[in-house]
Amino acid sequence: MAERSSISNGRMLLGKILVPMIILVAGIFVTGSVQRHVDGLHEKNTVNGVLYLPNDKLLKYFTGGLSNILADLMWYQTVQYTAKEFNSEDARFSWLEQMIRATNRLDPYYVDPYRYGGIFLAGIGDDEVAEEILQTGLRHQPNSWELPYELHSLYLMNRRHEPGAQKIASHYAYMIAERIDGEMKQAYFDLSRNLLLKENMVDEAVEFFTRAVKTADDPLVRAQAEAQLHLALLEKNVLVLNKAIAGYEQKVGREIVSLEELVTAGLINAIPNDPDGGEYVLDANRKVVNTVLAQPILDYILVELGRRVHVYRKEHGRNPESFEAFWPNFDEEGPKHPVPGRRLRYDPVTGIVDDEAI
Amino acid sequence: MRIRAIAANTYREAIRDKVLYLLLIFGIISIVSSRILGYMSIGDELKIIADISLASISIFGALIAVFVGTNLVYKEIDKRTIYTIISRPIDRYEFILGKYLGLITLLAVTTLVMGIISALYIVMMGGSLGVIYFEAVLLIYWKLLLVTAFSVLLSSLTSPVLGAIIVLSAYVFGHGTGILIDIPVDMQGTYMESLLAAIYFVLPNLSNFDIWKEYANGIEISHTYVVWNMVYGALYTALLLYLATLVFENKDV
Repeated sequence: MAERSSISNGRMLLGKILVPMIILVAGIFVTGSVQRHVDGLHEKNTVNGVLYLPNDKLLKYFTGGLSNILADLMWYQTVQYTAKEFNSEDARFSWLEQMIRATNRLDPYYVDPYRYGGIFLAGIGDDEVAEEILQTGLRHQPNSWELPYELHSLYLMNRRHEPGAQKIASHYAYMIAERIDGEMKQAYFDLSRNLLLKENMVDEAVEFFTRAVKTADDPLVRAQAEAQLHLALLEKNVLVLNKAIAGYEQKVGREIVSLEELVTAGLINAIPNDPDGGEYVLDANRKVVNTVLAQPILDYILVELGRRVHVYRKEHGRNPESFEAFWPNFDEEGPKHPVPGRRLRYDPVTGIVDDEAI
Repeated sequence: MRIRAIAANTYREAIRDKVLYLLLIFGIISIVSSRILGYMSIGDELKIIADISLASISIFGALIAVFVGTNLVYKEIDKRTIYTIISRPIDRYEFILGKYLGLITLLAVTTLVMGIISALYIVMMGGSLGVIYFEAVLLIYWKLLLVTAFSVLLSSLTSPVLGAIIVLSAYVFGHGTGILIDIPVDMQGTYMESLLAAIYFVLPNLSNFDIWKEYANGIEISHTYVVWNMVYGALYTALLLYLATLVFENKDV
């Protein structure tokens, strides 16, 4: 009796579980094989599948509130399309711009398509469209740092030869600085000023930071803008003094010895006063150097020399005996102190490099 | 008291519905699998995770509201259980309200479950929530209140299949009413512009409740905006429930 019941249970197990399982697995295997066959017959082009959808305005309104999800999918397709075109021999990127615009029409706040779309388009040389897309993104996401960053890069690289490129790059560097925190904030404020000064646009720098001080809402940003304005004014003073020196030497027919001569000759009213304690001094070539402006250069030199001492100590197990030991041909190629009347000093006992008055 | 009894009964009945669990499981699977698309794309993975997670709450919540909601009254009439209820000293509006409250309690539970799972998942993936996340989930629920009211209305009027088709179509169109005021330039200034604008203000605008897009993109939304949308949703829902009551009171059962 028990044996019969066990056989019956076994049959039930076979009939109700094993057989359906086998049929299911076999079915999946068969349908999978058919799918593989179908794929072989017709090459799939998922990108075009998306492109043939009706225009993105209609799409946006008839997604049942899922326009963001569609934007995510569209962006995924755009990335795939870009990669595919990039790897193809005949890379034309014909649909790229349209795909990026469609993605952002579906989700106007989505930063990545603006950002990477801008990078892709700039990469294929479509700078104007790249800029326009990045600008559109900036209108929708005014607090984003990524978009000014890409615009800044566009003007520093692709469009660097265009007139005023440095000025525009400087403007975007300032925008980046306004939007980020941490160490790089200061670096971008400095960069925005240096880009203007690099092109001798001292007046533009003063004007730009004066406006920035007036318009900054954030106290930290305003303080930074004030600091940059102060440095730009120092640069302007250096420029004015150098012009006065050239005029003075032409007038008196000899080289200037001290800046006070400019005051005596009535070319300037007084040597400008720096509230931060900076001084204006003449270098060997009779060019004016401001000690505050020279400070970052000195800092850089000291850090670099300190690094070299550290490397030497690691390799030799002791401090170098002299400058020449860690900076071969020091006199010829070694760094000079950026401020006239001062020089670099090295202490072999402590291994510290600093500076002193001559 | 009578409304509460009907609501409690509706809730108990609906929570036993297998469709509910199926939809809930699909919703949770969507939330958890959202990372796949984020992983395959370039850029902010968290944005895509947040998009899909909150969209899942919205979509699967709406499906529950539609499929359970359109059955609510119809089922009672079809199975003739309605006679045992309306033969008692109970007003018909109490019956409709009780049914509605039972279903929205169920939706509150499902939205809460999906909302918590989604929140945990976003935080686990390194994202942050903020007040706007909870406001986004609250507004999704508020949208579901409106959709449920429409489902209950349709449930008093027609069969569940037809009702579900109508409500789902209204759900899609309700998110796209913006097109009525986003007209081409050559239509501007014509009588058509005024007509479309009038239709726009009459139809429910469900996209009002979708601030999860702003959340996913890190855009700030004022609390006032959220409150006014809740007021809008509450008014529209009340209107639909009133209509449902009217229809049911005049129904020959």
